[in-house]
Amino acid sequence: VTFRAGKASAKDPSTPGLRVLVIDDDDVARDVIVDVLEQDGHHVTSLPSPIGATKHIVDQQVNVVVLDLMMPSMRGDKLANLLGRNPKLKDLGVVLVTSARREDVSALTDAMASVAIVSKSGLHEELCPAVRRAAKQR
Amino acid sequence: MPSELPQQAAADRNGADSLPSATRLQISLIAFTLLLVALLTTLSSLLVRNVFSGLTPSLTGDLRWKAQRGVAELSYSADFGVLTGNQQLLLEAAAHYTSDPDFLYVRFGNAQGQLLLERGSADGLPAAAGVPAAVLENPEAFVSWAPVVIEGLRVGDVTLAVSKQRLQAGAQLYRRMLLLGLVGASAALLLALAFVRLHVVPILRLTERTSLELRRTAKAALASAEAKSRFMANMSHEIRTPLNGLLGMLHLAERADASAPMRRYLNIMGTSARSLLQVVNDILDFSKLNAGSYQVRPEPCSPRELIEDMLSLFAQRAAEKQLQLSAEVAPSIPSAVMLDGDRFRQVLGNLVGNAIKFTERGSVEVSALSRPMGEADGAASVLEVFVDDTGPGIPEASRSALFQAFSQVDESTRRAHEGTGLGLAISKQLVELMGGAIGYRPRESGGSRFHFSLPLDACERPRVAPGPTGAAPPRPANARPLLLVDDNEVNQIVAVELLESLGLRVDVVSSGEDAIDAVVAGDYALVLMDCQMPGMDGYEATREIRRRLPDRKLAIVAFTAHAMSEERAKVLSAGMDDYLAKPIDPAQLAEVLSRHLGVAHLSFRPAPEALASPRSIAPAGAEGAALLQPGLRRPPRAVDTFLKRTPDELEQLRRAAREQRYDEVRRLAHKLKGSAASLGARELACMCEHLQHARSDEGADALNERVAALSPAYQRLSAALERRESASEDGAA
Repeated sequence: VTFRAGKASAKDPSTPGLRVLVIDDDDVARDVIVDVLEQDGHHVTSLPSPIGATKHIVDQQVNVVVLDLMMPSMRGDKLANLLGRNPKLKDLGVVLVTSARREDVSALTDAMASVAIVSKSGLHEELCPAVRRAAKQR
Repeated sequence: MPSELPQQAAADRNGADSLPSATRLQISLIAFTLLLVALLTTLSSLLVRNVFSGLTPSLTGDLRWKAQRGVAELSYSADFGVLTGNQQLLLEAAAHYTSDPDFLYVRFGNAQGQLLLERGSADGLPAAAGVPAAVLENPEAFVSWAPVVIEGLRVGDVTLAVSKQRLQAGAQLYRRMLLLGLVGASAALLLALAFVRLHVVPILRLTERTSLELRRTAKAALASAEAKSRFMANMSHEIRTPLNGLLGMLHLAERADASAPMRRYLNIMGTSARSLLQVVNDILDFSKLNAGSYQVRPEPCSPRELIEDMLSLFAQRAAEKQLQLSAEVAPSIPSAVMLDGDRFRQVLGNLVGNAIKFTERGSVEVSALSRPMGEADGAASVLEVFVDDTGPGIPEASRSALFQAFSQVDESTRRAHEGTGLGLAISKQLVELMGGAIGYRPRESGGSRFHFSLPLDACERPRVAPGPTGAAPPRPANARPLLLVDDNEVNQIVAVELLESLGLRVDVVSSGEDAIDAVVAGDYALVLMDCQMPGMDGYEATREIRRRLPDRKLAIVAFTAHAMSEERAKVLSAGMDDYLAKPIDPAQLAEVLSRHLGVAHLSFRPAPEALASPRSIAPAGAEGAALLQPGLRRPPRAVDTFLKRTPDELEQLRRAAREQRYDEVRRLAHKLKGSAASLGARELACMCEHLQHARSDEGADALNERVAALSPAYQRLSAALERRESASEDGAA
């Protein structure tokens, strides 16, 4: 078993690797998410807080941003909402991750029908398909 | 310091032009002395010369006469002696002359020309014989000759020479005096030079150095004052930016659903944050006033409107304390006068704010009147504004320090009322800057009367209406979206939520360049432009928008963290229509927007339903949940972080549970759950999920128990994780 196989072992050869930005204040979850996405063949960068995210997304030409829903400085859904308003970021896909259970955040999904929400306990199974879907939708 | 002097002297040379240098003073002093000495010498020599030239002719005449007259006399008195050749007689006759100090030579001869008697020396004398009564001269003497005649018969002759020695002595004296004068003058010159060199030059050098040092000190002081004021401006920006976020979020939080205690905490936080902002603003104003960089910008405005605006601003605060707040503006006050409206507001606001702050019951009254000024004052009349309150008044001992910086009336009031103690000092400086005066008088009925007066220059142009208020037909607020330009996501959130709660649609971009693209491509009703952004800032972006779209009627409102009034001029000159200081004041935002959007008034809707707080639903049981989900990849760094951090977090959880801080327990549980879930640690995540829904009514024991149960679960998990990790390392090796 080699942990750093990274981009070479893209599981889904039909889509090329995406440029993904991960924003989560929790180091552990962030590292796991980055690792999961790298395994899927994406080019992944990460930030511990939403501050400066917009600039990063523009500068790094990010395709999909993965946001933690509950962060101390700003909630992920608010940031997703902001990003959605930015005409410069029309093509940006957004995926929210949360450690809350899906049914608890259903209120959110109503408000943001286009945004995928992935539970942290289902990262390994659900995140990569969600990210690819978010990219395709755009 | 001395080692710097030469370079500094060179550096300051340009600046030193106005001041005579020691060298130059030395040269001019020497030249002056020379001129003086030359003048004196010339004058004295002219004087001597005049005296001598006046004396010389008379002396010459004297001597010449003496010779001529002497010969004539001798030719009579010595006739018998000459006839007889009697030497004794001749000697006697000549005795009068030979004893004369000017006598040089006398000779008697007989008819045949033979010498009868001779006295003195005839060396070098011209031969005078033959011409009677003529006076001949050579440089040494006047010589005269006469025949001696008895009864018509020439019996002999006489020659007399008178020395010119006295004349020559005069000339010599004149020469000597001239010489002496020159020598004296030279000596005076040398003395003057020596004096200059020894006494004046050191003084001058000292003066020069002192003035250089003074100049340098002044320069350094100016530079340091400038640096200080720049620092203050920057600091205030740095402090105001996070405060902006804080106040904005507070405003949102205050509108959101919150429990009563939470609402109280939020209120206190809001009050504290606002007074912190006031302190920052005060200090900024004060430092700017002290640095002399405040400028008054008079513009046509209406004192009545300014006062009424101010009253409406304070109406709520007065109402909260059940104070009666009223204003009376004399009809004689013109509707448009040249005034710096912002400064006027600041001063009046300070006085009214103080009055409300310190008055517990009764009323606060503002009154304004105009009175003609004294003839000598030039300006036509004075605007007098009074702020009367029914508060405790100010003790006599404290009155002198009233307008000084950092003073509040006494410690007890300071404790009761927060503030920097800068308000009145700032007001005083502002009023004086506007050419007026501020003062305090106790009222006889108790309470205080503050008053200030400003020169009243009525102007013809009425105040320009601040916008198309009411003029444009009201348009649905959400017909066209607004564009928000701000690089900071927190600011974006605050602004977006406020704008949405005003029923407005809003797009967001985060740079000046993007703003230009968005405006060119889209149809926006208004742009809210942050001024300070990295890269292209708001001013530049606005200029560019105005340049590219000169015909587009698009209001651009600046957001600026610099609250200084200069900012306003800067904002307007960049082509923006209005400005809002950060932190955004919701009421002000609504007012400015309704003005520029041509909407009668905008009002806030109730806050949108917040994200449902975790509901108390029975979570799925933890039993049967796998300790560690098999077959998952776990990045070693994440595992390391988790193992390092979690024992601390568990300890924090235990403490929070012991102290019954339910919010803290929920927060920590949520955090731990996220980390555990992402590592596939189902058991721990599940237990945290339970804990996250802990209710305050379930009792301390149950809570402690559930928190305590986390520890063994974590022990099992960490052991399993470490096993996996070492196994994977083996595998990798």
